[in-house]
Amino acid sequence: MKLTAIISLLGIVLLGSTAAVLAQEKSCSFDLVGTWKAQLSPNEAILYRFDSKNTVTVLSAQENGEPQQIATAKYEVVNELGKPDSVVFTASGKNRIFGAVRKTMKLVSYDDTSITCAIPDSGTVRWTRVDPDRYFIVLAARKGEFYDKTGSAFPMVIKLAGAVPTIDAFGVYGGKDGRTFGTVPADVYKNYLREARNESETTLRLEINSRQYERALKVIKEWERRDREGALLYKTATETLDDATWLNNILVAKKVTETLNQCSADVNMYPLNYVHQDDWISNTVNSAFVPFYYFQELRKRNEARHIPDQKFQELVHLPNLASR
Amino acid sequence: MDRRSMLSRVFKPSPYSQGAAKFTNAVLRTQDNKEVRFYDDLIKGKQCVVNLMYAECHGACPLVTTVLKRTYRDLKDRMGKDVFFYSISVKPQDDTPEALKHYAEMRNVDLPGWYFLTGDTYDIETIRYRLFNMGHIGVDIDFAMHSGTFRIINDATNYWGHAQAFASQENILQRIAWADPYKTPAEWDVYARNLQAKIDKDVKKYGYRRGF
Repeated sequence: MKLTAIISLLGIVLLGSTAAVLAQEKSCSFDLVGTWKAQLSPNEAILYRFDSKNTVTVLSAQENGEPQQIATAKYEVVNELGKPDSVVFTASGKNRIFGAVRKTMKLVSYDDTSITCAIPDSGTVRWTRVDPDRYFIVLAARKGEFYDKTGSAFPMVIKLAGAVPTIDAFGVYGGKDGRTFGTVPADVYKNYLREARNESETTLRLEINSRQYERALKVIKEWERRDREGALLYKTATETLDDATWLNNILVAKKVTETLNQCSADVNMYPLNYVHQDDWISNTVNSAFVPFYYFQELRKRNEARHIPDQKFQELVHLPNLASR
Repeated sequence: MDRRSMLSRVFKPSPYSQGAAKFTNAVLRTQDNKEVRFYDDLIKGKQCVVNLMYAECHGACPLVTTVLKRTYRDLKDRMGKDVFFYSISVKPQDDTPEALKHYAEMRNVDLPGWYFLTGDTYDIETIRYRLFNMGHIGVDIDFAMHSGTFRIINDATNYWGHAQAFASQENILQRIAWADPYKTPAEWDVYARNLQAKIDKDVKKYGYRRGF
């Protein structure tokens, strides 16, 4: 009896440690491709344009005027123990890079929008990502739309290139045949971009960065594929009487939102982890309403960053909507 | 019964099996880098035990593998013929076939009828939910919650069961036996005699029937 208890305890501890190791595996992917800016003074900055062919172009940018090319170089990201550790530059044009033909830049830290690096003879500098486009996420949910008092609930991710928005949305919505789980069509999601009007509606609109957008979009695309291929994670009603549609929709809402903080704690997140002490929603609310209360809780926690109606309409001009 | 009809009996799926629609027919790779289809090649008409693991796991996985190794020894005569073990990596992005081969060799479990499988993250996630989901997101979201469970399947009889890795060896074997192909009356007779002989032995030695 004692031995059984000890073995069971050991099993629980080991399973717990496996879970703990997995929980720590939040990590930023390091992607240098794109434009990075080092601000030298209020009026002067250096731009580093990294392309996918391992070439970097260095430009000097003054406040008023076109950026001027200073140097070009080949670059290589060096990994140590499977993680990016440094970047080696080899000047390829007439000019040197960081005052030398070959220079190694040590990565101190990085996240979605910045890199802090140590350059020999130059000290520690911080680069910030320059993105010509803007990105948003909208979390919208309603109650009382369908016969069973449930309603639509889905995340939308928006890329604003110039004045043209591209929107992707996936979740539960009211389709032609009633409640539908899948890719939300444009004529439906248009009505959910606006501000919530009463207690049975909730909307959160946040500006995010390009990496957050790409991660959230990847989740949406994965679920579009699951829907298309009949590979939804939950297929049938379960023993807990939860409809598979709602469980799938919770997974979509959870996965899309949690990608936002994959690299750093940018959004004030609600822990939708089903742990009684942390998560009142999943422990007290029918699965059908979990996304609604989850989005509502996120709205409360990120009220200061929520984009008001008028500003959002100025930014995301729907008549310009790009077709998917 | 000749060998040909024996084989067709063993690997013929139940008419009630949901087939690839349930299990998926995802393309996976074995530790020998052989491409296999999950339903057609691994599940269809077969009796198998499936568990989740990953090569760099230092928590429960090595212990669970040890339990399976012991179970393999007990089922040695049937392994690779009518019973199969499938250890599926839940970190397919890290676990190449070579990494799984190394894991299996290090633990002396690179054995006939025991396949270590990796594949696309999307497919593995689908298989994980199809085989191990408990209908509760709090449990299902974290694969570690399933790492101590064996899914036991016999597609020939449409059997679907499970065993806990940290249960007694007898319990695990009993649960795998529940998935055995249908027995003929003669086979049932032998089974009943053997069971009674075991009970008699237990009673003689301990004074009561042990097990489960």
